[in-house]
Amino acid sequence: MPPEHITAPLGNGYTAAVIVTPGSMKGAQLGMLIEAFANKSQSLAVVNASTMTAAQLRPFKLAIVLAAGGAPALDTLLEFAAAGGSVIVADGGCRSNPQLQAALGISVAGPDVATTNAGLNVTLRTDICSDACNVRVLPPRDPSAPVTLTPVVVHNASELVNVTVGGVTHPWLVARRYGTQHGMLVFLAVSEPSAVSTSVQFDFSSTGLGEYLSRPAGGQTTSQADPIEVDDPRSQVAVDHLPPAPGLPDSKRADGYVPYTANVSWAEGGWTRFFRRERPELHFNEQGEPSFLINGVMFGRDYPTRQFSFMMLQRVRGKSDDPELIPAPTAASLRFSLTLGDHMVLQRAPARASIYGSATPGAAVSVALSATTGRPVPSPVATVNATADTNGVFSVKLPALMGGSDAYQITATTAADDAAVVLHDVLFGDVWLCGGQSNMQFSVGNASNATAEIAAADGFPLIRLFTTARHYNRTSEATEQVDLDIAPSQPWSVASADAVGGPWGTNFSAVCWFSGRDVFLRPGGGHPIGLVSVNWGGSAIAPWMSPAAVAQCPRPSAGDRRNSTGSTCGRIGAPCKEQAADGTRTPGQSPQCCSGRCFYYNRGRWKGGFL
Amino acid sequence: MTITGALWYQGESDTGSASDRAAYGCKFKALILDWRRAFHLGSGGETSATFPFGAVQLAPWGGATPDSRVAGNVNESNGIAFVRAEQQAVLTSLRARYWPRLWTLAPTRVVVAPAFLTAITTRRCAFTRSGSRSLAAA
Repeated sequence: MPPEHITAPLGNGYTAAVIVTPGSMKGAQLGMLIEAFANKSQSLAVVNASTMTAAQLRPFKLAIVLAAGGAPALDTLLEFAAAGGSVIVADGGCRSNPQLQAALGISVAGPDVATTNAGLNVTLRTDICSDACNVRVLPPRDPSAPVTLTPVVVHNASELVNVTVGGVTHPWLVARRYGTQHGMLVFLAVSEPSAVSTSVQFDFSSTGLGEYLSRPAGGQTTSQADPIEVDDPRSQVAVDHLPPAPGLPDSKRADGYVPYTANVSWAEGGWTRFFRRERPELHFNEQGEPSFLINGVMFGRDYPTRQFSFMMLQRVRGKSDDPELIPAPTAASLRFSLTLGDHMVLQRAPARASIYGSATPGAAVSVALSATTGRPVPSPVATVNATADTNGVFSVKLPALMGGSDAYQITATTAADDAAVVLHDVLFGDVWLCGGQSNMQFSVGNASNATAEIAAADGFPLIRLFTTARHYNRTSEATEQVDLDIAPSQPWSVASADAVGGPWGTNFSAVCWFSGRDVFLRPGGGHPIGLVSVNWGGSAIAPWMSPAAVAQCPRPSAGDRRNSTGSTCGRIGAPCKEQAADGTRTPGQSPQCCSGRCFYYNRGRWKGGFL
Repeated sequence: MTITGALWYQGESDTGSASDRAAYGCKFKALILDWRRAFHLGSGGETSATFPFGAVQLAPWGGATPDSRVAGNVNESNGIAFVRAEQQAVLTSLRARYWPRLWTLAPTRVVVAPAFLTAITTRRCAFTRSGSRSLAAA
């Protein structure tokens, strides 16, 4: 199925439900469909026709029917179509279902001939077929890679997992589900065209998932001791369960990490799922089936928690070293910092924006600011001169501009023959920095009501987004990281559905986006907003601080006292009581003892109360 | 880079050990100071040295029971709750201003319960090494 054909009805390419009946579905058929979606970085949820409800379909705009089963499912489909949902029926080319065709008002005219029920927006496609069909859906695969791992659910992803199949390593992005109610990591493996036996290895060592390895009781377990299970009775798959490695590594960063390895055999066209469960009891529906309903898409409120359990996968696409996303450092010595870029927002008045970059040491750099909106040619506003220092760094302050929707162009030139460098479409507004660990990294696409929120992002062209790349200073942990001039994960982008909820690399922080949008929408707002997202899942607070700041907070020792903000709180043995509401203190109380909780340090931890 | 302010959502990874938890409040305050100083100096004084610093308080972990959603519900056997209390104390000491609209921002489906997002405006309070609130009422 040409992915282009899928794109249109999806709009932003977010969500579609593919409806299957386990007993009549071919794994390869589903796999091809999933891959077609994955190639468009789109999401796909698998719905079991035999248990399908209208509520399950309601969040979707598009349902693709691989098999619809009996009358209840047909009624549900009709209700979905009548409510405006688009339906693509993959039927007739391989297995004809007259009941389905009659119910939906479509018919098969012949191989590869689709008919459409325009009234219901139902399309019959005969080109979504399994290997049993004459119609070939996708180009032949590379015979040297007989097994492909295919994401079952594609969604916004945040962590990299290396999956090695038969010696070939595939980097995958995994979006995590947090909380104890959800969480399952699913891989779909499809074998074609022939039977194969090989090893599959899951390596989480480069992911933030490892942060939970030491917490088997925390509901976040992704330890390699978790069983990989195969739940499809037809898959003819044998999995060797390896015993848990003794002494699980405490963290992904610990030495001695051992990837999970399983030996797997597939029959021709066979398929299986690998999944890793956190809370196994949550991942079966009322019929006792494991969630075939791997509805990785954030379903609506109507969807029972117990029935969607999932993790989400996405083939790495546009990851941080993707040349498409990263502007290559220019060969010329003159350039702006990579933290700047076209479409960026610079801080507006009363502050002055700083512009910086690199040039030949000692070179005189001229930075010109021109207004462009509504002008046939850029209209000069100001020119600021600077000299590059001995490290080749130049920095200038632009005049304070009030900001607004008018765009500017910033051009840097030198007297030498360096080509001029230009920042286009620059707005002046408020720049906010968003930092933190995985919950700051958590993307809009994973947030509540994601589909609608992402679609709405097209309405905020004055909000501009930027996400830094992760860069780890490996030379010394005690060395402050000062080189932020690295290629961003997401260059400055105009807010849009794609920029906010697009694939990895353009998959923006939910907290940052919604905060910025709220600031934009609040009374007195409406000026451009620049959002700089800097996050690293699993990071502790210390790496975000300068070494000097970290040094301000030494490890406590026994007997230390402090108040709840970490300040020293009286001498050992002195009374430490609450400050009265009016600010007065109890006579005799230690003057350093502030209001708030009081703690004393004993046996390795702070304890509340009075000593 | 000249900025208006910053938002912060971190702390889960400092809940693991008792010493990390105990130091979080101190570090959190030091980080706010550190960032303000760094951006102020790094932008040649253009970024306010007291720029607004918003923080999302950690969401309760390990269950969505009503009790765990209550701010300040400290169970010291729970690292998350402890760090939450640390954050609460720091934000309170800095005259944190509650930003109700942003309650809905937290990825509630992931963190089990809504997080508490608090914005700090510090123009009316001061950072001192002793954490004094003496200027906070000014």
